Amino acid sequence: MIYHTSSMGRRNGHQKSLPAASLHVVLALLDGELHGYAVMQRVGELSDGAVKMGPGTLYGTLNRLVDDGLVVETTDRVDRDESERRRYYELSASGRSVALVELSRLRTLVDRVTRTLDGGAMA
Amino acid sequence: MNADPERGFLRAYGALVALYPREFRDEYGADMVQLARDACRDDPTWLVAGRVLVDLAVSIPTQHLEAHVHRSPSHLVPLIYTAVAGAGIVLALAGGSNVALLFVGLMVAAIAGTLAVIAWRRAAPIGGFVETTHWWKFVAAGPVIIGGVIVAAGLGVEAWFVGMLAVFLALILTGVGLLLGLVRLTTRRPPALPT
Repeated sequence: MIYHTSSMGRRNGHQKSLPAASLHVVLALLDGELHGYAVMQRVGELSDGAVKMGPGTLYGTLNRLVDDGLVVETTDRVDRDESERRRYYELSASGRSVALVELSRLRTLVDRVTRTLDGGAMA
Repeated sequence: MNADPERGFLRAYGALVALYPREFRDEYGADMVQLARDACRDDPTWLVAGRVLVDLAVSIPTQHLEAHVHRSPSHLVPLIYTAVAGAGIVLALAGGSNVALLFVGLMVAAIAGTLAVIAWRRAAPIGGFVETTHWWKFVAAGPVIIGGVIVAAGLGVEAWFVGMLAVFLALILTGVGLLLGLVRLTTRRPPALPT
């Protein structure tokens, strides 16, 4: 990690929502350990190709998430192919918890909008 | 896929990575070039190059601001690009009948405006409430900047173009502040979810 930064915060006891780029990365890492390019591909898959993160945004976001303790680098955890110089990342326990809270928030949002739309359709 | 454009693009990208703050590029520079190389295997080079160009324009100022303020400058980069877009419009208007100035000003406004939208979409939470707590700071910034311009003019500083840009920025900031204040007023007590 490089800087003391924060991609998340707390106010009045409630966790603030993650910025869009951070949210996409933590949701991509819910699948388990991935290297940088695989994270980028997974983000593209999850968003149906709508979100294509560039290298600067991806590694800037990973840097913040590692700094916040939501993501950990796992490159040295297992022996890898000598020729492979990729860095691997996975969610920490708190990162997983934040990802699940964000999923729940988005589900609530979708439920609320769906109920409003259904109510409007019935009226 | 012809390897030459790809090699040229990767060499140019490797050089542009030097524009990031030293610590950031030392830590991630090689990974970023590797990622661009991987992307060229799956997508046409011109497409990757376009995507990377936009990424550089948004992430380089973000990383430099982070290196200096030691926190995530999530809303600062979109604001800077909005101000640049505003300056482009002022330049186009100030040019009068000068077609070259009009063209350059409108191009700057269009490019900076697009980058402001992209930077905002990456920084803002998906489906979250707009952060409106600091609306008064934006409202206050306008009169403070205009006050500074008046004081500078009173001291005999002759920089009419900079002064005009400052007043324009002040009006934008106050307008954004008033808008955020209005949003805060209307969303202070979100209605309870029906059960």
